[in-house]
Amino acid sequence: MISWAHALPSLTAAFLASLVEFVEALTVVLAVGTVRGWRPALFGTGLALTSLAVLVLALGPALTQIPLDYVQLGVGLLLLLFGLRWLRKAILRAAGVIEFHDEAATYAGETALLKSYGAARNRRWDAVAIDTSFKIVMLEGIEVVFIVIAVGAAGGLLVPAGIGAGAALLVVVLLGLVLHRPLAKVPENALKFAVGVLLAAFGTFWLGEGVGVDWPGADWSLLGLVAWFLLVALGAVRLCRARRSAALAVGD
Amino acid sequence: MAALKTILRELVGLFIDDSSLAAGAVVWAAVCGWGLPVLGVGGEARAALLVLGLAALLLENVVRASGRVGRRE
Repeated sequence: MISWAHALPSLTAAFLASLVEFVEALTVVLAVGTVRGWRPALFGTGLALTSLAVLVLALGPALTQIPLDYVQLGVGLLLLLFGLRWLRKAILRAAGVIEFHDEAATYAGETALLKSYGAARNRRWDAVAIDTSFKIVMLEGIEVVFIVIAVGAAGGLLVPAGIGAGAALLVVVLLGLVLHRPLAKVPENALKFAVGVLLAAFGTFWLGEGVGVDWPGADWSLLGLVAWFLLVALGAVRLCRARRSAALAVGD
Repeated sequence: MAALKTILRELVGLFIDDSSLAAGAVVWAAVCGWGLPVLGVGGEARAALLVLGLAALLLENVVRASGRVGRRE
């Protein structure tokens, strides 16, 4: 029986994190399709998705052979590092310390780069287009696979995590088909902030399980960890804004 | 080969953006997992210390970064 205390955060974390990754992949695939043609763009995308499926099918069963303690420790540590990295960047962006990620600028840059390569010698095999779309889908796809494994494997929640990632893919593909332009209006930093909080909480929980600490309230402490990291992150934004203002005042 | 290198670099970059934060988190987890039991600290106290320590590491890191305004990441 799947506990909702685990399943809902797993599904939400996988959905939000995958949404960010798929939006980034869509931006580049759209640029490739627009500049170099849709056939090589979709061929590269399909090739990457097939490679990812092979990777998951090959490595997935191996994961079940590893003792649960080691899975919790390994997945928890990676998840914590992943979550803290996203949370750190989201805090610094929210506080105005570093610049926001701009999908429209990424699209413009990628479009200009693809145009600079000139036309393909063989119209049926545009290596630049295939390579570009393959690399971005592979990169973002590996991140999604990791996210699904990380939020799902240690707690036996691969199905809800997979559903979350699948739903994110569906949303991005549908929006891409309808809009035919980068999803620049997606509040990426707010998503990264929320996902950073969720992943840091999950990572701390599983890492704690892996190293043998006792969580008060057992599985329910996961919700407490989410609230804690949210509180810390919101406080951090305020502190960083004040610190940034002070640093700028000294600079003037 | 170049694509493989890019993928590997991106994979490492997935987890490590600021090495001091990553290293601090790993060391603190090791202290809470294997160091504190030697000192007789209980399981629930270790859980609390793990959570507090990680939050402190994150706060210290972002506040320090905020003092270096003007840089791009």
